Amino acid sequence: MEIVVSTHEHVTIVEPRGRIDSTTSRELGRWLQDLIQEGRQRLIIDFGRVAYISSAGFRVLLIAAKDAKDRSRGFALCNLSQEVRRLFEIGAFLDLFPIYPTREEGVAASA
Amino acid sequence: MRKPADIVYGVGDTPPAPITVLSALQYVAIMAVYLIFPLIICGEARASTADTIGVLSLAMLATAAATLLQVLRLRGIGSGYLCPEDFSGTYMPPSVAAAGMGGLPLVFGMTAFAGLAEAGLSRVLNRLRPYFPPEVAGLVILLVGISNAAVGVEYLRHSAQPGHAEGVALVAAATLGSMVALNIWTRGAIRMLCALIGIAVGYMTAALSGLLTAKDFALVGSAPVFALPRLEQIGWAFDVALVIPFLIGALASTLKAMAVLAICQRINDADWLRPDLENLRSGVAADGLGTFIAGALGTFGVSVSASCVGLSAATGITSRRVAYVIAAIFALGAFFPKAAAALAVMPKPVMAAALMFTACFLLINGIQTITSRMLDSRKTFIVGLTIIGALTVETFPQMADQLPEMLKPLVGSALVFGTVLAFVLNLVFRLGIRQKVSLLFDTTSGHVGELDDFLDANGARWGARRDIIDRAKFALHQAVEAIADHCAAAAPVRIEARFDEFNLDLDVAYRGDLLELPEQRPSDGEIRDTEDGLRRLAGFMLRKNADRARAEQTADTAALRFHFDH
Repeated sequence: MEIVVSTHEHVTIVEPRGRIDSTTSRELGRWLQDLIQEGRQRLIIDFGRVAYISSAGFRVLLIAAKDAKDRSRGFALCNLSQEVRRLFEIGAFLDLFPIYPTREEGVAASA
Repeated sequence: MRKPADIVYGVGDTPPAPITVLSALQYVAIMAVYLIFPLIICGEARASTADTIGVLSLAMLATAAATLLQVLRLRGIGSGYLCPEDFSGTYMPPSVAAAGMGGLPLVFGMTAFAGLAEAGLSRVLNRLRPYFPPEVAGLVILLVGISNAAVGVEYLRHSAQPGHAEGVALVAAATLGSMVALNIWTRGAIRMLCALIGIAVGYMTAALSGLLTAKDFALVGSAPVFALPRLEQIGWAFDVALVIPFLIGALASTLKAMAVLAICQRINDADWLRPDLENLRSGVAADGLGTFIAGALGTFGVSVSASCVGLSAATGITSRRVAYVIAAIFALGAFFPKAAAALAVMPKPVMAAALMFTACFLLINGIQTITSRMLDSRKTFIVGLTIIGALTVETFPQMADQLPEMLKPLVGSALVFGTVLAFVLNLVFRLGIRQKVSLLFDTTSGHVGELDDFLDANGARWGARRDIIDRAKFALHQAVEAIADHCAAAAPVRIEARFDEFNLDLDVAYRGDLLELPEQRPSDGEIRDTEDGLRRLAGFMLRKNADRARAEQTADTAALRFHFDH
């Protein structure tokens, strides 16, 4: 899985590309942990290029979200496809994160 | 049933009276175009002017009766939708043959026979279904749209005589342009009545350009305001030689009714997933009985108006009350020859424009129905060869001259030929489709793409719904991942998939610890902090993803079984 990190208006955008499963979720988890500990104030994960997320991927998101909350960092998600949104729904994760329809809206809300 | 966002007045809604009446008039104006079919058949039978007017008046009564039958839902007859019945090209070829062989009585008698045949077919629709999957139903709709558009083009061609070509083009362009522009760039009542306004624009343009002549105005002026329909031309005859052509007409009408009524269901229900078979059965029964009534009354076969359903999609009005007003207008029209005369003088370019306008929505609905399921090479050829064959019949009608008399009705219209061809191709290409398939997947060295390929290839072969295959993919991906991570699985996983039109079942069997599929979601803390929480989350998501799921252990083999309603 490729992970692209960029910054826009003081918001750090993390864009995983591909599948988030038990193998690739560890790498995503390390990235998110490093960025939070580095001091990034506002993080948004762009799911526009994510085709699949499994239980392992959701665990990584929960861990990162708690870490961010404990350090008073902003943490949000954006750009969920219809299928990924369905997976969030069946796992009952939709209400646990701020989720924005597009990257622009997510950045604007987080900035 | 949840009303879609683009429907302004749904099936059970009561629009304001002016909207209901004007909308009904719009449908009447569209349906009036198809009164051309009884007129053509009367011409083929060399009927007198008086007999022709009699047939036309009774045609209006038949339209009213059939439209009411379709909307009322009486004891298993009628779909309950705004799906008016008008005269259809499906019965044209056999009716032309009957008119030539035995005059109007033979047309009426065979039409009544075809109506009873269609009503009988409605009782065995569930057995027909495997042989007429969505791609075939969608093809029928597509071919109706093509046929309607072709009739429109033919009208333009015939009416563009020397000296009139510019006027014909102007009237057609003004009519079609008005309809399209109002549909795209306006909202509310004007958009809902775009077809009626376009037809009115067409009449005015025709009057100004001289296409509507003094003779036309005189015909309307001299027609009596009120008169009982003429009955002297009614009689019934039967000929065994025409049984097969009229049965094909009945079959084509059944398929068209199934496809059109499925569209009615789809445009009225935001949560529509698959056709309601019971509703289709009632609708086809009404369609067949409507044709029987038409034959008994002394007129031509009717069928569900695909153009009107196209109009519903365009305007967002699907209220049943409009159907009642349509029936009332046609019933009254049978006793008002002046109204019939006004419709009878509708300029051909106006008819052509109306046909093309509604054909656009039919074409799109047909395409959407065809592509609602996954397509493989079999279905590609069914769709492609049918369209090619139908267009060939439409473009080169003289090819029918080469065939024996018995087969000529089969190639008499693109719709009939296309329907039969699609049916035969579907039957042939079903050979070799296995409904139960399996795969051995190595969780250590296998690539998840194999799981996608397995489901994509078989899903296309089966013509399965894409959303169901997507859910099945998640089931396999998550199951395989969880088995590898949490179940100490020792051997490859065996995956078996079984499919029929209503069910997709997946079994995942392996040697290892059983993966539970809990009803309750573990807490966020359990998911974050414990392996047991993560394992239970995987099982929970697998259960929620399927319509039914269970985990079983026998000796040293565990199995996860997932069921998806199709």
